[in-house]
Amino acid sequence: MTDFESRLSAALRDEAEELSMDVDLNKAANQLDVRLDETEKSRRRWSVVVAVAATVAVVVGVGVLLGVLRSRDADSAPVNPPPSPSASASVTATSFSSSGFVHRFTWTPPLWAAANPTGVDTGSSNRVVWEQSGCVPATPCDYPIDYKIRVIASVGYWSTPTATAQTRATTYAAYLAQIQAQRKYGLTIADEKTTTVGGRPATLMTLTAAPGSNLVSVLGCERPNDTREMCWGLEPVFTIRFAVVDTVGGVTTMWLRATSTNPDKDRAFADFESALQTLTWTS
Amino acid sequence: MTGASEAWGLTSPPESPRAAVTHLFHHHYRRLVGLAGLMVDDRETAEEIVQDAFEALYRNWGRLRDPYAAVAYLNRSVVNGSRSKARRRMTERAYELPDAGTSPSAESVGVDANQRRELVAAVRELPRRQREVMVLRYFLDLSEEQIADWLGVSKGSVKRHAFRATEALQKRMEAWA
Repeated sequence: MTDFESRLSAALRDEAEELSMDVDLNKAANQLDVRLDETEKSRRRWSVVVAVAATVAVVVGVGVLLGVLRSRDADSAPVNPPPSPSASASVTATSFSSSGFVHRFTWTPPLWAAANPTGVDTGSSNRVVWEQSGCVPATPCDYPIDYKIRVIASVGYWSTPTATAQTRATTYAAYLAQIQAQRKYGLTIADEKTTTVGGRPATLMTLTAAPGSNLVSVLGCERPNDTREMCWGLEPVFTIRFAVVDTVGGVTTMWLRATSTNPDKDRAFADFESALQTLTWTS
Repeated sequence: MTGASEAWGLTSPPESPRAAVTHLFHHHYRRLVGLAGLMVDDRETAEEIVQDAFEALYRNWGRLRDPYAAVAYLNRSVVNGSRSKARRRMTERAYELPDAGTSPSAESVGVDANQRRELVAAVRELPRRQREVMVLRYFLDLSEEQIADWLGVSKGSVKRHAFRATEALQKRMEAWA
């Protein structure tokens, strides 16, 4: 540990100890007792509700079965498909306008992003980021949900794993050539298509990195002098739906990141593409 | 005594869930409030987060694969509660909070009270993700891989946030010199 790290660690520990000194442990224990009693009561109420519901379900099931047997020769009415998760979500789509981003834009991001407005990070004029908040605390998730949307005005990139300096991202064509060149270092490019985003030429592609590849920092840097670890890249555990847009005055990259094992990522990518079609550039 | 049983302060955990949670409460409440307090801005909120974590532990007691994992559950619940972020399943081992009795104090490593306050204030002013990374790294002593796992981000992202945070904090420290 460096001297700085030791000082920081010690300062954090002292601060935590000081914070905990003011705790009234007896009062806190009484509060917890009350909460645990409530949990117990709620659990008992749910047991009764579940028992009643199970009884009703059995009765209804028998009724439905009898009805089906009676009408099995009749034509069946068309059945409506179940609503998709996005359609049944209580969150409504919300428009977002970038104010600090160098290429100003307005769009309606995917629903999960609208549900987490505090996830918007506009800390740099070349970056806007949305990060999903994930599951409700204390409710185990079936799998980690970790969608991220990055909008980066890329001013440079590290062209190879062994490059010793950044290369400038000068034009749309040059940037696309740079991405294509990463194939030899383990980048896989799939589902590539040309399109427009906000009326500007764009290329969409799905990117993954081979196990063991070193593609850190090849997607772009926000600032000309950023070191390798400060720039954006792709790690083998993730898959991204990547849009390269020929914006006026430079290249803008926009992507949705998902864990490669996420079984729902294709739908998330489709939602992201739909969201891109709502985008308009305002500067 | 193994590391896991040290987390309980007993050779074996109490059998009743209520007794077990109450025991853990008395053993870990203060230190967890300290952890939450580093990630949020006031003690009252920190206490609420820790109370929520203990209530959730009680509610989910039957799902614990191993009672010794309870401390890991609490640590992670507090971190997640503090972040209001994605939550994952229990880790397989109990990460111990640092023992204040054996950790070097700020005074012993040459940080006076004013500098310590300024340094902590600077940590609180960091962007949210940078602050989380620094607390997990330098308070919980988690590795970059563990932080990436806990926060649901890539290792590269952890490195980036740590780099930026260190740069910002060091500038503040240079200003004192």
